[in-house]
Amino acid sequence: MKKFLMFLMAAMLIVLTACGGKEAGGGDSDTLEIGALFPLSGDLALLGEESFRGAELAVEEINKNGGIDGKKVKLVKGDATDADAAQAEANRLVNQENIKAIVGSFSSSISFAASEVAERNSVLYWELGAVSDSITDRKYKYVLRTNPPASYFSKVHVDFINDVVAEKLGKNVKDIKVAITHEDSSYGTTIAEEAKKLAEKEGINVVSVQGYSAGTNDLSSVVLNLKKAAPDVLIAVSYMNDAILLTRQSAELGFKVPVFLGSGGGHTMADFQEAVGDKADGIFDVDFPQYSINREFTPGMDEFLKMYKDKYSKDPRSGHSLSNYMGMKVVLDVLAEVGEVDPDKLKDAALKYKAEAGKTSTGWGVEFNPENGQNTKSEPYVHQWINGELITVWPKKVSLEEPQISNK
Amino acid sequence: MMHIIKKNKFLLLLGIVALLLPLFVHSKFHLNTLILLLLFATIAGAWNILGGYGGQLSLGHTIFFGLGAYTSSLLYLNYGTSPWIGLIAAAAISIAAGIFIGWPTFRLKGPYFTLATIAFAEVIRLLCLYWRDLTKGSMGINIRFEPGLSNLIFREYSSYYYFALVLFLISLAIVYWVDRTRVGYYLKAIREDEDSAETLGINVTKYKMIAMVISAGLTGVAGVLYAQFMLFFEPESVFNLNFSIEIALIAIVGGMGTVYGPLLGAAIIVPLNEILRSSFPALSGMNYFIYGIVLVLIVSFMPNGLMPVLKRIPKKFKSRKKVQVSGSRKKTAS
Amino acid sequence: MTLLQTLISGLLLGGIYSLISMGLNLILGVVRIINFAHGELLMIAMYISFLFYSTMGLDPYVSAILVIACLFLLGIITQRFLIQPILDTPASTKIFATLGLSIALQNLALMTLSADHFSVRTSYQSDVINIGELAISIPRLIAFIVAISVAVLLYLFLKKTMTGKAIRAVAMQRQAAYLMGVNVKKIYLLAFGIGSALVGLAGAMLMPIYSVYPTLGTTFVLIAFVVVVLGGMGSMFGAFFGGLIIGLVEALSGVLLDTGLKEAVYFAIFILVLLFRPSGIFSLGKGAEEVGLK
Repeated sequence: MKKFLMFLMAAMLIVLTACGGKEAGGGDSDTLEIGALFPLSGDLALLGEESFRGAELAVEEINKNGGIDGKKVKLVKGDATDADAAQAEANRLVNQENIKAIVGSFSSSISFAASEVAERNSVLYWELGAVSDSITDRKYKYVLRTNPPASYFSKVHVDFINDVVAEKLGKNVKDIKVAITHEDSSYGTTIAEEAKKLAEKEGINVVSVQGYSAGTNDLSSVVLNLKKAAPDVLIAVSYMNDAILLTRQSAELGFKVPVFLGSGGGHTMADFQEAVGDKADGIFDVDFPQYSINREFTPGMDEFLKMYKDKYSKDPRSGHSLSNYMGMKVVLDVLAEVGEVDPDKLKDAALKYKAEAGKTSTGWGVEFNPENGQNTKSEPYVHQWINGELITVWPKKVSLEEPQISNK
Repeated sequence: MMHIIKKNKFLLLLGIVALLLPLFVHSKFHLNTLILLLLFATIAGAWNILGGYGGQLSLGHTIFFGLGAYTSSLLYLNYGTSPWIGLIAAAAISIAAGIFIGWPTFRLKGPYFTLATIAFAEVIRLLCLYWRDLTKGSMGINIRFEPGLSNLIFREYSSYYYFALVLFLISLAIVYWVDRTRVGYYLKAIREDEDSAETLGINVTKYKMIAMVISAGLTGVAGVLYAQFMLFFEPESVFNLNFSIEIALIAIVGGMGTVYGPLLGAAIIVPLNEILRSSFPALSGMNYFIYGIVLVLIVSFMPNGLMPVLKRIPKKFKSRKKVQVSGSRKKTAS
Repeated sequence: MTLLQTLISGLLLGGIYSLISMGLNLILGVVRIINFAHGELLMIAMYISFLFYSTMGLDPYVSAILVIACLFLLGIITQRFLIQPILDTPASTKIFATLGLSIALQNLALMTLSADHFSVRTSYQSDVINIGELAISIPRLIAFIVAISVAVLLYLFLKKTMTGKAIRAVAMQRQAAYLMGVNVKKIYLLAFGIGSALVGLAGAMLMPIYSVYPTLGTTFVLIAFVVVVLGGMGSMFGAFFGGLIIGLVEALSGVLLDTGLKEAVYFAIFILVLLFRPSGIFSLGKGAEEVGLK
């Protein structure tokens, strides 16, 4: 018994000492530290890492150019595989590494858990990629988001149907049948629910909603249900594995839809095109900005692509890195203005920060809603796979090509 | 009572240390780790009653954990019911679920029981994702941060620490009671050989059910603490198979069927997790790769956990002494 | 029409599940171990198949034999160095050893091959046989036929050959087989090797249908357990038909009930089978649970 207790004491001591990093605040005086929470292993690792790379590149860029007031910026990484890990990692960053501002996080549930910790510790949580509306709807004092939330996605879905699809199909909007299929994590569920809500408000006929688990091995039943509903437009929200399955099984089972609207995730990825080949052609994808885009509207994208290739020796897997890069640049701009990592000052400066559309590497403007911290000038664009390339087709200001819809 | 305290002087000391700890540990990170440690020790302790003593290897304990979290949170969010009452409701629902699951599955043996518990947990996770009107599905439950004793939400981590400590001590007391009474002996007999236990006249199902009820109730209550501490959770985080695995793992690493094993296991696994997560920022996957390897090594070399190994050390020490003594005697004799 | 197509799709999916589960069935039935790393074996098989494709341009069906050989070796190594030393430990140990292996392998793949999804592209991949309005995918049909062949061959192997009889003897009564002079350890090695080789075959057949990534195994491993127990442990045809049943249930419940519930439905059916016929639907006579798996 004595031994055991001594062991226990020792174990506790180990906990306390092994985790006993620095206690003095703010890190070294010549670095500005910012936490970075992304899922870097586990199920979400693919896009989590891609997102992190964007933030990493923005930081490397500024350090190459002399940092902020001669101080280097450092990203302190946390591997947040799921909500539980996000909570623990956010706690570590905030209370152990003395981080005062955190960026993240690709996944909505990770964002929820981590921003909860940040808010309670009065630390700024700056979201660069997660889309669930409720992250900013909570109106937390220390939460900001640069990227567009799910409701902006569905607005683009519906606007695109209203402005482009209806005309190309030669149908009245009220006669267009829309089906929705989505994976059932918070990413798929929020976008699908927002799309359904908005579409029904606009009088668009939603004929079928098919949710499924992202880890599924088979989408034949989804495809058959969709085939039965015979929609004109299919809005799909999928990760990678299910995006591939959906396309392959649709082809196998002879399900064709005139307008296929993906919503980022898998439908954006180079791996997706790699897997399904020319079956990708024609698929639309509503998402953050991608790379075949009107570069005049997205200044700085070329430099980003070059940096990316130099560092990772291949092209980006998707636009996730770009929007995180752009978001991180805004963070760094604001940080440069303030000169120190102080959550309150950063928040104030961020609310004053303005950028016009067409002046950033994503084309997004920046203007934060003081009430909930959401950047109101961000928007998803519509892209289309044309000859194996994901080309921006809508809206006009960023598009390179006309959307191609054949009514057959 | 006195003799227990006398016998366990160190236990008393440990208790005092645990009580005073927040006075010395100011880092919220350390407190957070300690809270998680106590939480996991509590749940693993609860699991231990059924899994360790009774030998019923459940990998579905997230059912009770998640039901506890959802019960109190939904009551709080929808009806403004205080989580203090939620604690009771959570325990009740978890116990009901435990009976519902235990009643048919106790007939199953070995891997079949384990697989059945996994299947139950999966069904509940999927239903929870599907039944969005009630549970909000994968959007998860978000409790507003409104500190207050009646809300069971605290600004100070030390308050959570004490809450977790009380919960853990209650679970420890229950396990201690199980260990020292007929219930524990019967459960151990069932674990060793169910058929013989039955032949000896032990009402196998009854004692398994007692273990299940205690285990489920405690786990459900721990779920409430988790919900009130995290303030955000979703089906994937509370009904996750990996979580079930971690609970059982802690009990197994510490020592199944021992009173202090789960605490020991939690004191190893929880910090190990924290340290690994922050140790290899450059290479994604390295942290969990090492975790997997460590797991294999621990269970391979200490299949019964650390507790029996630790208990053996003093004995070995003593027996070596004896050998030495007798050896020296022989020497003198010759 | 939809219903008929659903049945066909379900059967074809079931063929895939059967293929994956038959190896697990052998391992679970003979070595008596819940191998949680089974999904990771499948993942490795698919990565190997992909590597043959990307480096040497080998079609997955051609390289199948190589993948099978690799996995056979991997299985033997796993059994010899991981499982054999802990054979006499409690069930919990074995479960957690394979769980640890599963976590380590997943993250080894992540470290070395990144989280990218790799797929092969072949000319026949999306070919379909059309009968009226019904469609049958060629790669899925091939997987189905392979599954039947494996079930038949394995059955013959276990029934007719000396080695097969020895394997069955060990599966039924470890102790008695040992006393009769069967080298139990060798049989375990063989069973784990063959079980893994079957996973290799499954991986090769799956490569034209799915893409491979580090956590692929997690989506298949629980299904494999469901199939094995449903069909009846140790019965090869049980695993085969178990796979078909689960495939059908999944497809049908997706169409008739809700696509969000299809997994819940097959887990519920699994529970019901466990409760009312714990030895599995197709097991003959005495169920394995009565042998007392420990």
